[in-house]
Amino acid sequence: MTDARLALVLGGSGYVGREVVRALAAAGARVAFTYQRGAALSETLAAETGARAFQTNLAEPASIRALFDTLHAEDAAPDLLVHAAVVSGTGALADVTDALWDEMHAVNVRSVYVAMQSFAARLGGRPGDVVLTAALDGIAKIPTAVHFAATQSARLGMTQALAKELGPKDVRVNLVLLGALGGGISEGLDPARLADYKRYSALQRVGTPGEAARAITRLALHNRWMTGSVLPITGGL
Amino acid sequence: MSGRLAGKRCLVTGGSRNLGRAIALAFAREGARVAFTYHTREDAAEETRALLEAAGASPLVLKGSVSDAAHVAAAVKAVETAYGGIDVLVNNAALTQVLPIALLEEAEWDAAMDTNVKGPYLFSRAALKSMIRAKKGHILNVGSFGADRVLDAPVHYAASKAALVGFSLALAKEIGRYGIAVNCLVPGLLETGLSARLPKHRVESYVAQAALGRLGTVEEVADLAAWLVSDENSFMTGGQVVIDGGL
Repeated sequence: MTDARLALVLGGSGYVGREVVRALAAAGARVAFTYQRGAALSETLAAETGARAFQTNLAEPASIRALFDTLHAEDAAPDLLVHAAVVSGTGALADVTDALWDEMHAVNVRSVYVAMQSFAARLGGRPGDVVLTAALDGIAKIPTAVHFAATQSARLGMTQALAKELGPKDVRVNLVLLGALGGGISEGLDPARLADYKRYSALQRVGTPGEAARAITRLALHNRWMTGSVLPITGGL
Repeated sequence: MSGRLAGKRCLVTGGSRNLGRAIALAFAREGARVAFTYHTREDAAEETRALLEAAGASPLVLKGSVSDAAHVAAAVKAVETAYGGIDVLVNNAALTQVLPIALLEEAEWDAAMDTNVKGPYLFSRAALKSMIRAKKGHILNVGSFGADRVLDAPVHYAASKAALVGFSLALAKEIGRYGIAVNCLVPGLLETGLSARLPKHRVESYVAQAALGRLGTVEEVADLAAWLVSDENSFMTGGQVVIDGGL
């Protein structure tokens, strides 16, 4: 059954996204993914997995809509969407500018709405599966930048609203909540903060992108009755 | 035997019927060695045994109350003796009565707490020795959508399942250092089990409110349970995983 799935991974060249691309392709899905920077990595990933890479600026709604138009025109409109793209940020409240706020929300929040709108409009009655990702920063009381935290908790709210709205059309929308994964946006973490995460998390370690990808892939391919839910891949933080 | 749980030594409490049976079967199909407990329904337990054997498993079937410490000790010892240890414990056994608080007797309150909270404590404590020695393991506690929402649920049942969440969180923190994960699986209303005892309008209300517009099946929840206790799920602990059709 999974060999018929048409998957689109937003942020597919990222630290977690590339593992999701690999896992979905290995499970037999036809995978397309987006990247913004890292053309060489994306080319390698595409060659390795058979997935198709699309350079797409997720901060630009027109770019996202054009991608869906392209896939639709090729009779390859996805029925499985993973949003693994994220822009992280640091800084105190006093340092957040209107421009920083808007830039972060464009990728982390607005692209979710734009992609979901395009995705849902092109399902044509097919069931669909959507997995969004969010960092723990928006959900738990941990020291983080306010503009970043706002975007991550927005994804939780969107997961729940989208699950309710699209459930009657047999579209499931869930969120995988990610803790420190030893790379990706964790790379920007203060080493002392990372040490705290290890110390205070129940499993006392950071995770791996593969661990995150396994949860995302399971939800994307093998879930029928879970929607609006959260899978916390956080090591017990 | 191949499968997601190949070689895993699993103990499921309350495995004779409904979700517990489905979990035992899902585990067996994924290659696990499965033991299950039951309390009163010997006929149902034998049916489950037959289903497991038909799936190629050779189950251990253990009779007793989860709130009886002697039964718990004997059951865990039997599994350890037969399998050499325990990798997965599913605290599924639970009881409830659909009653308003005014009609709820103190003995019913105590019985729910004994089965739904003390049982998981006794079984976890007993099974942990083997897991800590192995420095790995999964404990999966079966919660309820009534535990943390404003819903029509019997108060003793809701209170006991909320207690189970606190138990899961604290235990996850305490034993995470040994590489043991503790998670709480929170199913919504399923076609099999409690829904048969609810008034029709309550079931219809659930279906109307759930985004996916239907009750779940024990198989759907059991498949998730099998993934949650597998090696594929290696960085989740203290999680509450809700599968409720989008209620």
